[in-house]
Amino acid sequence: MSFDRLFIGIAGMIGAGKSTLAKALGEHLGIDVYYEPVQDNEYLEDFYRDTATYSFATQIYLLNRRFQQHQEIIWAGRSAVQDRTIYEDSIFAQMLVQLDLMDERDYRTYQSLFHHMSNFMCRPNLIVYLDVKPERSMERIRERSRDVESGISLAYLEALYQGYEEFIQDISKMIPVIRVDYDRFRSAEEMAAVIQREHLDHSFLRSVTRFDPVR
Amino acid sequence: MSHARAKPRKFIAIAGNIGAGKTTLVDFLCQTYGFRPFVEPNLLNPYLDDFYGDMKRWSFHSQISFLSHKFRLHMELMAEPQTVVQDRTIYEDAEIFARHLHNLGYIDNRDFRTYNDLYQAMQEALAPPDLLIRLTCSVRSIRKRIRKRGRQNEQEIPSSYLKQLNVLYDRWFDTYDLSPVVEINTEKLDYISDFVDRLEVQRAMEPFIL
Repeated sequence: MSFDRLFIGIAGMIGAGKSTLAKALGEHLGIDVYYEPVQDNEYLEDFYRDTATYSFATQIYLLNRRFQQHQEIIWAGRSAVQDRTIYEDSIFAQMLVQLDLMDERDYRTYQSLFHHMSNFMCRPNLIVYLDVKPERSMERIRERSRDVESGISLAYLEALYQGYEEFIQDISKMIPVIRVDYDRFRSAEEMAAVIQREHLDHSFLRSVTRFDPVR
Repeated sequence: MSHARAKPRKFIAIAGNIGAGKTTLVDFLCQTYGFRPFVEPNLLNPYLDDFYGDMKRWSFHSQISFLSHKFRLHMELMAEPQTVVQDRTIYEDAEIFARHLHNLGYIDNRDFRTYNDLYQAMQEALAPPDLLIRLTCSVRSIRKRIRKRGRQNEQEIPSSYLKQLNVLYDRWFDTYDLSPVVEINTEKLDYISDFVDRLEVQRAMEPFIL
């Protein structure tokens, strides 16, 4: 990614409002929007029904979809916003291991594949983290009532939230992260405007230091 | 953007069934032209024991593990500064071996789609070889060669398996279009000992590899 090309990744729990924000940012900044393909994941039903059996195949499937999206973004060669970062897949995988729903060996296989493929992926130069607490995430899941998500428990979301917190700590050492509390904004548009301003501050710093902290 | 060096490095791939003569050809190419053999560090596939115990349960896992390993090797190979010769490609992993397990019902349709999508995406990201050398050979000659070279783990391979692989190889070669292909029939391996045959083979390959 070059200096002037912007690639924003939006991170956040299930039901955090990632796609809504991605759409608003896309419109506000006039950049391409890439959505997570949820509807046609043919493992999802089995995954929620019998997670331990299907966790590996589901993760491989998702990794590949992600990879293909990254390739599209690279080939398009334009600024873009993605409504979920590839790193979050890894949080999910780790969580599955913690909950004994994925075995260590499968996790290692998945991680090394992830690692090899990351050579062909683009790193965001900005991450927006939609910080939504587990309880709130649960409410949102109920509100939108997607069938496949109905089996998600609060305990699962709490573990997931912990994983997100650790991830944000780690990734912010390499990529600037803007943490946003969804409930403090009246609209996604308002949020987009604030994020743009924040980003401009970052860009300014980058150009005077002649050092690209993202790389 | 071609600031071509005087002799750009090439990537030569050799594909063919078990016992089709891949190693012999690698040695020949490397001795004749000073190329580098790309020696594959043996992957200790962590699923292999389980795979032999329950193929239906572990085929997908072990094939993903192999594919991932091959993908990494192909990347390393692309970074080599001199001409390299690879014996057994990532393509064969998918087109021959994984497909075979799918045909036998050990990898179900959905998992095979997932595997194949992954493979397709990898294939698009990777640079193809400058030349693919296709080795063809009858099952009967393969059997003879396997017996002669006496590698322990190959002796029990049934002829039916070799035959099925040959069919898959033929099918793949028919559709392969990522690079030029030179076909060598290795029925007698004369192309190395017989002077005239050897020249013919060299003349066919050289436009692509020198």
